[in-house]
Amino acid sequence: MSKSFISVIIIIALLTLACVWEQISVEHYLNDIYNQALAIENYVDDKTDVNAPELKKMVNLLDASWDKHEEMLCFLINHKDIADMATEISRLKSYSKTNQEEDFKATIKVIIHYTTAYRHVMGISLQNLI
Amino acid sequence: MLTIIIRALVIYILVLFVFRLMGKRQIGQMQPFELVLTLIIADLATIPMAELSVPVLHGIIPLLTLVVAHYFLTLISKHSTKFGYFISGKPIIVINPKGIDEKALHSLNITIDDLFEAIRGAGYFNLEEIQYAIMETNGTVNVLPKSAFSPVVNKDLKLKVEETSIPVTLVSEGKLMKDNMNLAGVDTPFINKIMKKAGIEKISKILILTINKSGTIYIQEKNKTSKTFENTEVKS
Repeated sequence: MSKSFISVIIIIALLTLACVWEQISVEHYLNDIYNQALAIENYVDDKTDVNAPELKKMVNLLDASWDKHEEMLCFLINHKDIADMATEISRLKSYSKTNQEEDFKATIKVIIHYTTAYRHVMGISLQNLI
Repeated sequence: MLTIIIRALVIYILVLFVFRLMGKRQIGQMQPFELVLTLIIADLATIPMAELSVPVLHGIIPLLTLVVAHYFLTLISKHSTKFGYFISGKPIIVINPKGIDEKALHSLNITIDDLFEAIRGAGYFNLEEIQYAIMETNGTVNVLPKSAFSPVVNKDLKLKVEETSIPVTLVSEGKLMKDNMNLAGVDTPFINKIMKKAGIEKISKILILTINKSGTIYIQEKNKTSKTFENTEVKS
């Protein structure tokens, strides 16, 4: 076996590993954020007080989860998109603090939209291929 | 700024590796698909290098994917002539004993002026000297001259000449080339002997020292003129 053949086999193995790792980790991390954001949205759906202690706890948990996953996602997702998500989560915390119900509900929808959009962009689909 | 420097180094090393894996062809010798690949690689490498918001992986993954694709494309081309012709085209005779093949020129999308330029580049200025001219797949034109215009070689003159050999570099810029010394079958005392003969005190003062199969030695001291010694005994 030639050196170049061995190099190509190693590259293929690395590419396969990278693809599998990307699919699994992105799906896992974004799913985690999506579920938490969805839980917040459901919680505030019929409420007017977005400054409730339980909601604050949920928002803080979302923020902590994002911080935890952010570093890893930086390897895979455009950093501008990651910064957008971090900005929205910060806004969410701020709206909760000032009890701005409408803005809070709008922001949580944006976060849900971002997680869905990232999953679409990173995943394998016909739309992405064309 | 430091991030850009580190990213640039990472991408640079990767691109070096990619080109080493692709082989040693020069731009003029590249097949069309290799040229396209080179341009794409150059473009891909610059994006994550300068754009900090783009993950480095977004540059590395397509680069490596292209290397793999290129490797298999070349491999298939080697095994299947038809596929090779499909990817790279095939050499086309543009001048034959009857003259210029207009159809061939038309199919290659080149003009008479382009053809003249190419054959002049091959060292021929008169069409009547040419028996055949072939446009290769990499765009170069190779010429087979008519017998009357072929250069005379030793064989034509029935001359007996010694086979030429590639000189081996034994010392380059003051450094001993151990592998080359083994190849030439010489040792350090031999080098010392040559140095003494050339009046050079230290190996570090030698700019270049070469030896060929017939034992001819070419030695040059730094900032001095070169010396040549004929028929030096060399172990085979």
